[in-house]
Amino acid sequence: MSKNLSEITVFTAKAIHTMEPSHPHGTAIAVRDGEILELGTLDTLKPWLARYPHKIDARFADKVLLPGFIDPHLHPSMAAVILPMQFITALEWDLPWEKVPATQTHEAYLKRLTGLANTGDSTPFFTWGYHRNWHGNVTRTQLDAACPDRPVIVWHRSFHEVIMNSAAIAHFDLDTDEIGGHPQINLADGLFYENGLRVAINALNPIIMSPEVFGLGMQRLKQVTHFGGHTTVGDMGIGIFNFDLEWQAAQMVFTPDSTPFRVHYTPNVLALAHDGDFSRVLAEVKEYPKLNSDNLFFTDHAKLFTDGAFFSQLMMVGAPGYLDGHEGEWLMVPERFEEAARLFWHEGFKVHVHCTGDMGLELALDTLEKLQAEKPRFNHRWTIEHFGLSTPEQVRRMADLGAIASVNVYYLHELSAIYAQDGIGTERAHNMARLGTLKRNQIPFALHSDYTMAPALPLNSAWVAATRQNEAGEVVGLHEIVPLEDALKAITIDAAYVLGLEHEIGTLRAGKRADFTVLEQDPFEVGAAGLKDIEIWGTVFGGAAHKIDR
Amino acid sequence: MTRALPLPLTILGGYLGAGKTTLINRLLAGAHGKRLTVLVNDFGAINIDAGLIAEHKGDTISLANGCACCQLQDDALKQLQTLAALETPPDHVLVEASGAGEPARLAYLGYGVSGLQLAGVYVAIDAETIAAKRHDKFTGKLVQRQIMQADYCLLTKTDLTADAGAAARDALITLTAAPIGEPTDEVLADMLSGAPSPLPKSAAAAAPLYADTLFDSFTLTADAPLNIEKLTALLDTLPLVRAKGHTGTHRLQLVGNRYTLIEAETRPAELVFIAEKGTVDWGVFEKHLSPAMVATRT
Repeated sequence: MSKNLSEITVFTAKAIHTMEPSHPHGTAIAVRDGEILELGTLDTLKPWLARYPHKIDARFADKVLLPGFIDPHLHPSMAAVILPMQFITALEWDLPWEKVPATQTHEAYLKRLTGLANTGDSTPFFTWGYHRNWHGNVTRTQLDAACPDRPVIVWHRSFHEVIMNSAAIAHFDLDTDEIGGHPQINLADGLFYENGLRVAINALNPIIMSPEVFGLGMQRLKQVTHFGGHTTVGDMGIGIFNFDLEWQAAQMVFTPDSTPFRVHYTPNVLALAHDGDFSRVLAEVKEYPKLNSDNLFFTDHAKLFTDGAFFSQLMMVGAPGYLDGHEGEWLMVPERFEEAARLFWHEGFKVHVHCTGDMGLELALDTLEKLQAEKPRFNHRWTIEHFGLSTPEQVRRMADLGAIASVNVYYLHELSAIYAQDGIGTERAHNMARLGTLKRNQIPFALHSDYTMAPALPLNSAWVAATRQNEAGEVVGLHEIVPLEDALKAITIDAAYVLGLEHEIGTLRAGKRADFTVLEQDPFEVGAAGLKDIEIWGTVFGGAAHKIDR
Repeated sequence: MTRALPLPLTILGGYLGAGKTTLINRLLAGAHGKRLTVLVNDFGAINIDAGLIAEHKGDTISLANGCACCQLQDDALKQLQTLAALETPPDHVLVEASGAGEPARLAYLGYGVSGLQLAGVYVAIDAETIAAKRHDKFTGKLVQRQIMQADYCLLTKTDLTADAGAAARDALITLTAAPIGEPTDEVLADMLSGAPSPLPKSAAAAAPLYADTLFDSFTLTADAPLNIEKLTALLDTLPLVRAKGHTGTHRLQLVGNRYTLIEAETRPAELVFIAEKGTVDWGVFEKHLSPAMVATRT
C-alpha cells in the first residue's frame, strides 16, 4: 500500500446524478488526487474509508451534483473581443457581472443606450447586441441625439456591421472623401458593413485588440465559463486571429491556480492555411500536442468549414432556398474542403465540420462518403458542428456514415420566429436543429454555445433542447424535442464524446476526473421547463470546490 | 513624390481550377514592362522560374523585372493602403479573388482607399468544365454569379476542348454581356493598361474616380434609344479603352478592342465611355452620337 496517497475527500450531497445508466444515483462520492474513487452512499463507500485516511465534506448536503458541464464549441478569442463591450441585446443575457435585460424595441434600445453611454466618461463607448429585427434602423443622427459628446460604436449582434455617432466618426478620423465614397459605408447614417466594416475595424483595432481591452475580455471569458458551470470547454478553432497570440493569451490568463476548467483545443485549419497550404498546416497541427499542459491541450482534432454564418443568413440553403432569393456562401468551396478533409482523414484525425445550412451538411456528407470509400474508418467522430438546417434523409445518412453532431440549439430559440417570417419560411425555421431525429437515428449529439453566438449556459441550451420554446413564446417542431435525460447527456457525456474525452470526463464513475457541477435544484425534479432557472452554486474541478461569486 | 496618379487595381476572379494561378505566373514573368504587384490567395501555388527571382522573403517574392507577388492578407484593405502609400508604388496591382468568393465584393476594396482606382474585374473561366460547373449542385450558382460580375471574361483551356471553346462561349453569353476572350498577350496587356473600370452611375457619382491625368470619361444619357449601327461604327473607329451601359435597347460592354452589344429590355440609355486623355474629343464624340440618338428601332 502506497504511503504517498493523499487523503480521501468524500462529498456528500442531497443527490448525485452520474449520467451512468448502470450506476445512476448516489449521495456520497469519494475523491482522491482529483480522481473519482467511487460513488454511492457513506455506507457503500466503507471498503475505501476503512482502509484510508479521509474526511467528509458536507457543504453540498442540500445541493445536487452532476458531472461537470462541457461546452465542446466556443471561441475564447472572439468572445474576448466582444465581452469588454456593453451588452444591449434583444434577449436577456445573464453575465457574471450583469444581468442584461431584454431590450426589444427601437425606442427602448435608444433609451437604454442613452442611459448607459452618458456617464461623464469621454472614452469610446462600445456596445454589442444591436439587431435590426428588434431594434429597427439605428442611425448616426439618432445616436447623436442619444449621446452627442461621447464616441459611440454600436456593434451588430452578428458582428458583421457597426454604426457610429458623429463623435466616434470624428474621434477615429473617418470623415474623409474616400470613406464617404465607399459603397459599403453610409457615412450619413454612420453605417459600416462588409468591406466597409474592414475600414472601421482598422480604425478601432488599436482599442479592441489592445492588451488591456483584449486581456479584460479574456478575464471575463474565464468568469463566464465558470459562471455557466463548465469544467471543460472546447476552443473549436484556435488560430482564428493569430495562433501564437491566442495561445500566449490562453497561457497568461488560464493559469492553473486561477482557472477551474480545462480547455481542449481544436486548430482552425482554414484560418491557419492562410496561404492555402493544408499540408504545412497538417504538419504543424501534428506538433501542437507538444505544447500541452494539464489543463490546456490538443489531441487529434481538426476544424474545417463548409457554409457561411447562420446569424447572417449566409448558410447554403437547398431548394427552395431563401424567401427573398438571396444566396448563402461557402467558407470552403467543395474542392478545397475535400482536399483538406482528405489530408486529415487519412492521418486519422477527428474532423469537425462547421455546417449551418442543409447544403453545407450535404457537402460534408458527400465528402465523408467519398473518404469512407477511400479509407474506411470506424469510430472516426466526424462531427457536424452547429447543425442548423438539415433534412431527415440527411440525418439518416449521417447515421449510415458514422457522423455525430454538436448542435447550437439556441438558433432555434432566438431565430426560429424571425426566420419563419424573414428567412426560410415556417416549416424549415421550426425544424432547425433536429435533435429528435438525431436521437431516433441513435446519433450522439452535444449541445454548444459557439459563444457569443449563444449564451455559454449549458442548462439554458438543455432547456431549449427539451422544450423547443422560442423567444416569441412558441413551442416549435414538437417532434424534435428530446427528453430531459438526453438534453443533460448532451452537456455532459455526449459533449465529452464529441471531444474524444469520454473516458476521462462526462459521467461520474470510478477512475474519472472529479469534475462536478453543483446545483441548488435537482434537474430531474424541476423537469425540462425548469432547467434554465436552476441556480448554479459553482463547480468542483479536479476535486477542488469553486463557488461562483455573485 | 510628385506623382499623383491613382494606383490601378484589377481584380482577377474565377472559380477554383479556372486557371488564375497560371495567368498570374504568366503576368509576373511577362514582358509587359509594368511593375506589377500581385496579391494572391494561394501563395504556395505560385511557381516562378528561380532565375527571375530577385528576393524571396516570407510571403513576398520580388522579381528582377520589378514585379512582386505577395500573399493576400486577411486585412487586404490595409495591405492595399500600404502599397498605395509607398514612396515608389507599383505601376499596377492585381488582386486574386478567392475561388469561393464574389469578385465584385473584392472590387469594393478599391473604393475606400485613397490613391487606388478600380481598373476592372476579370473573371477566368475554364472552357472545358464550365458547361458542367454552372449546374453543379454545390457551386453552380456561385460560378454563375462570378461570371455575371465580370467586366471581361477570360476563357482559358480552349485548346482542351474539341470545339475551341465555342460551346463555352455559347454558355457564357446567356449569363453576361461582358466581352469574352482568350488570355492572349494583347488581352493581358490591356488588363494592365490602367484604364479605369466603368462603374455604375450611382457609385461613380459618389466617388471622383476619373479625376485622373491619364484617362477621362464621358457619360451619356438619353431618353430615346441609340441607333445601334451608328454606335457600332463609332465603337469600331474610336480609341476607347472602356465602355459600359445600356443603349436603350442593348447592353454594351467594351474592354480594350473587344466589345459586346446584347439585346436587352428597353429603357432610357445610360452609357459611360473612357479613353486615354486627349485621344477622344468628347464634344465631337457627342455630336457624332447625336444622329445615332435619333433612333430607328430595328
